Amino acid sequence: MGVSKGKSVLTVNEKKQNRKRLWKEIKKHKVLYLFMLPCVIWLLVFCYAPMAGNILAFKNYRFDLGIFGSEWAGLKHFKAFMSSPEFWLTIRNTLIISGLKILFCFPAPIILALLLNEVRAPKFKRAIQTMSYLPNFVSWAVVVSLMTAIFTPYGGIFNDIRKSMGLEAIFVMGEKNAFYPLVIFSDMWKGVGWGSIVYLAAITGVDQGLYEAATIDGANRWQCTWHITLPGISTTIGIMFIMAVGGILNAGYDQILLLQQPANTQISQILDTYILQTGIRYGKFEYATAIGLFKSVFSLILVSLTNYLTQKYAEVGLW
Amino acid sequence: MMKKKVMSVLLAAAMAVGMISGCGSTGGDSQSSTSGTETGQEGSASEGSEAEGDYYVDEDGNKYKKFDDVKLTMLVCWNGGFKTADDQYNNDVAKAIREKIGVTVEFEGIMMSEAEKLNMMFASGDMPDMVNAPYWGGTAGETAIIKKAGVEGRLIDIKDMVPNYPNIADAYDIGVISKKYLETDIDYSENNGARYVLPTEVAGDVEDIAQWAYGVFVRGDVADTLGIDPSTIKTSEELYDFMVKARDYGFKDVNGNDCIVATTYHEGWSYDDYAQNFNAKKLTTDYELDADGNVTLSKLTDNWVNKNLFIWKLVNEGILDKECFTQSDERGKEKVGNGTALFACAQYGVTIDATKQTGLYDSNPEMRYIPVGPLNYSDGSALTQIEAEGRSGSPVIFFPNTCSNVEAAMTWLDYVNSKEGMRLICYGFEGDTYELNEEGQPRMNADLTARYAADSEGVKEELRQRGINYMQGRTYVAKKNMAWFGESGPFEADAENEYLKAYKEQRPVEILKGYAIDAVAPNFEGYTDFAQWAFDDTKQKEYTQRAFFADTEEEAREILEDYQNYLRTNDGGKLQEFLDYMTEQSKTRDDFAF
Repeated sequence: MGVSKGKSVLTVNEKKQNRKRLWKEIKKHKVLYLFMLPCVIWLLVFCYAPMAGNILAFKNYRFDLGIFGSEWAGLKHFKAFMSSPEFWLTIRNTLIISGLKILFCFPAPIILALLLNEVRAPKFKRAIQTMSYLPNFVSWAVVVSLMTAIFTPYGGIFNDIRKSMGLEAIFVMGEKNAFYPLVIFSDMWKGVGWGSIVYLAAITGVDQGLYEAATIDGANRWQCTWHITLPGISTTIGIMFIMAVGGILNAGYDQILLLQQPANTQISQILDTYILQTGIRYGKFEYATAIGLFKSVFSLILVSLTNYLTQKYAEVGLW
Repeated sequence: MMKKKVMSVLLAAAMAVGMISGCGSTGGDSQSSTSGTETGQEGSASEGSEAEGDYYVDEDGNKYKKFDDVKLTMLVCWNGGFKTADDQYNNDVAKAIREKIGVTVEFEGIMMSEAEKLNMMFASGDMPDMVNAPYWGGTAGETAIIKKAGVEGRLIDIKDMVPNYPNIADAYDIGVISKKYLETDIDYSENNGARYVLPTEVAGDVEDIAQWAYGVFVRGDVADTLGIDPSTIKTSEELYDFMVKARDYGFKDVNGNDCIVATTYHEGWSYDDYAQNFNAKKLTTDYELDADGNVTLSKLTDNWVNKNLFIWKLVNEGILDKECFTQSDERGKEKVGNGTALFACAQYGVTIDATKQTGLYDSNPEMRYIPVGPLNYSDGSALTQIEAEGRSGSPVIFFPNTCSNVEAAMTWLDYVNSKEGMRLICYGFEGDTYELNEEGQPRMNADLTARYAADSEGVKEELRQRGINYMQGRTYVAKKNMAWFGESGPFEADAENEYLKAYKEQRPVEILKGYAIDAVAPNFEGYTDFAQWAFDDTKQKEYTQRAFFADTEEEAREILEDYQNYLRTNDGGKLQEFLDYMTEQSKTRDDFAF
C-alpha cells in the first residue's frame, strides 16, 4: 500500500537513483544472480513461453498454418469436451486419485520428518534420510517395472509367497480393486523421503529455547512435538497444502499411465492421460490444449480459494 | 576467496550455457544438401543432362544421376526400432552405393507408437528427408494423419516425379496395389490431384507376396505328452479343450517354473489368432451382409460378441496370459523363449526367433513350437492368407516438405529397387558374400549359408555391420526378388527354416477377387467425422479388453453390448444412416466383395 503511495510522488531523479541503486545491488551480488539465471531462463522458456500456445485451444489447428495462423474456432473444443462422456469420467477419476493422495500421501512426509527429528543417533538418522530420498530419483517407468516384476503371477515374489501359503496366484497389477492401493503406496514410497526435506528444514528453524523451556516444565517428547514442533512448522504445512490442493487435477500422469491396465481403465483414465491420448495419439492438439487450459483455470481457482481460506482461518497464505 | 569467486562464476556460466544450448534449433547438416535443389520439389531424373553432371549406368542400362556426396535421413516409423549397421556411412554397401550415385541414406527407428511419432513430427515441423510409415487405408490411425499432413502442406507432391524413376514407378500399377487403394487412399479426394505417398513392400507379382504365417503354435512336448495331434485341431472348442488339458497337466518351463498356458507378443499381438475359427473367409474386416441382405458392421453382430466372449473365457479361466495385453515384445519373447508359454500366436517366424535368442531348441529340442491346426474359418473351410488383387494398404514412403534433396532421395530409391541395387543391398558382393548359380541367381556363399543354418542371428548381425540385408526391409517398392533371384531373400532357398516353410505351405496365399465394399464408405457425407468414432480402434480396444477382465460372462457380454449400443446411438444414430447408404451402394455394382 505504502509503496504505491510513495511511487506516485517519486520524482524523475529519485526514480533514476532507485534504478542506480538496484543496478549497484545487482552488481554487488552478481554471482548470486548468475546462479539464479538458469532457473529464470528455465522458467521463461518452459513455463511462460508455452503459455502463448494456449491460444490453440480456440483454433482449428492445421499443420501448415501453425498455432497462430490457424482459423479461430471459438469455444468449440471446450463445449465438445464438456459434453463428451469422458468429461465426468476423467474429472471424477482425477479428483478421486488426487483426493486420496492428499489424504494419505500429504501427511506422510510430515510424519516422517517428525519421526526423523526424534532420532537421536546422527549416523542412523543420516542413513535413514538418505535411504528415504533415493526412491525419488527412480523414474516411474522403473518403479512400475519393479512392481510388475514383484507382482507378476508368473514368477513374481508376491505370488510365490501366496503359492507357498497354498493360495492361488493373482494378477495384482490387473485387478481393478488393487489399483488405488497400488497408486497410493507407490506414490508414498517414492515421494515420502523427498517430501520430508522441506519439513525437516522447517523443523530446524524452530527455536530450541522452546524445547528447553518445555522440558524444564516437564513436557515429554510427544508433548514437545505436538505443542512446539507442529505449530512451529504449521506455516510450511499450510503453504504445502495450498500447493497440493492447487495441483489436485495433477494426479500424476506418468505413474497413472504406466499403471493403466485393461481392467482398470474406467477408474484410471485421468485428465492428463486423456490429454495425452487425444493430443498426441489422435493428433487433436487443439482439443487437448482446451482440456489442459480448462485444467489450469480450474487449478488457479482452487489455489485462490484455498489461499483465501487458509489466510482467513490459519493466517497462512501464498499472497 | 578469489578462487572461490572465480569457480562460482564459472559454474554458474556453465549451467546457464548448458541450459541455453538445448534450446536452439539444430543447424542444417552441412553434408545433407551439398547438391541438388534446395527443397528438391522440382527435381526429377529426366531433367538432368549429361552436360550438367555425371551419371551412373547400371548393368541393365538404367541411368542414375550422380550426386556430390548427399547424405539423407530416413525415419522408419515402425514401433520396435530398426536395426542398422553401427556405421551407416562407412559400411561396405553404403560406400558402394555412394561410389555409384553419390547418395547415402541413414536410417532411424522409433520405440513408440507410430501415430504419436507422426503427429509430433508433423506438428513440430522437425522432419527427416524420407519417412516409411504404415498406411493401411481408410480414415483412421496413421493413414488419417498422413492424409492430413498431405492436405495441409507438410508433404511433397511426387505425382509427376515418380514416373521418371522406372524402378519404382510400377508401385501404382493395378495388381501391385488394388484399384480401391489407389482411388481412395493414394489419390485421396482432398489431395486435389496431388499424390503424396509411394506404396512400398508390395509384391511385384503373386510369388512375391509376403507370407506372414500367422497362427497358433504349441510346444511339441505338450502335444506329445497329452497324446494330441495338433494338426487335427480345427475349431475354437477343440483348441479350448486342448488348452484346458495343457493347463491342468502342470507343465514346467526350461527353468522348472510353472507355465503360462497361452501368451502373445507386444500388447496382445495377436490374440485374435486363438479365436480365428470365429472369422468368416472374406476380404474386408469391417463389413458383412446380414440375413436380410443389408450391409452391416461385423462388430455389430452376435458373432463378434461371441468371439470376444471366447477370449474372455480364456482370460477368465487362467488360459490366456493376463499380462499379455500390456506387455512388451521382449517380455512376450522371453516367455516363449524359455518355454514358459505352452501356446504362442502371431507370426511363426517371430516364435522361432524368440526361441533362437534363448537357444531353447538346443537345450530342449522336444520343446520346439509346432503349428496347431491351422484353425478353420467359421464356415469350416481351410485357413489361407487372404489377399486382394493388389494390396489394399501397405507401408508407404513419403517426403516431408523439409526434405533436403528429394531428387537424390528418389534416385537412391530408384537404384536400390533396380535388380543390381537390390542384389547389392540384399546379398552384398559377388565372390565375397555370394556366388552366382547356374541360372545366374545370387546365392550366399557356402560358409555363410552353413553358419546361417546354425546361427542365423549371428550371421545377420555380421552382414548387417557391412550394410547387407537390412535396407531392403523398408525400402523395396514392388518386390521382384522371386523373378530376379529365385528366392524371396538371402538364404531362403537354401537355409529357410523347414518348419516355417512347411507351415507356409499349410496356410497359402489366396487372392479373393472383387471390389472391396469399404472403398465406397468415404463418399458418405460427413464420413471423416463419423469414422473418427465409428472406426476408433482405441475405443473398441478399451471396451473389448475391459470385457476380457470382467468377473462374469454376463458382465463381459454387457460391456460388449454397451459398445454396440454406443455405436448404434452415438451422434443421433448416424451409424444407421451410414449402413443404409452402404446398402444402397452395394446394389450399384456386381463385383463388390465383403
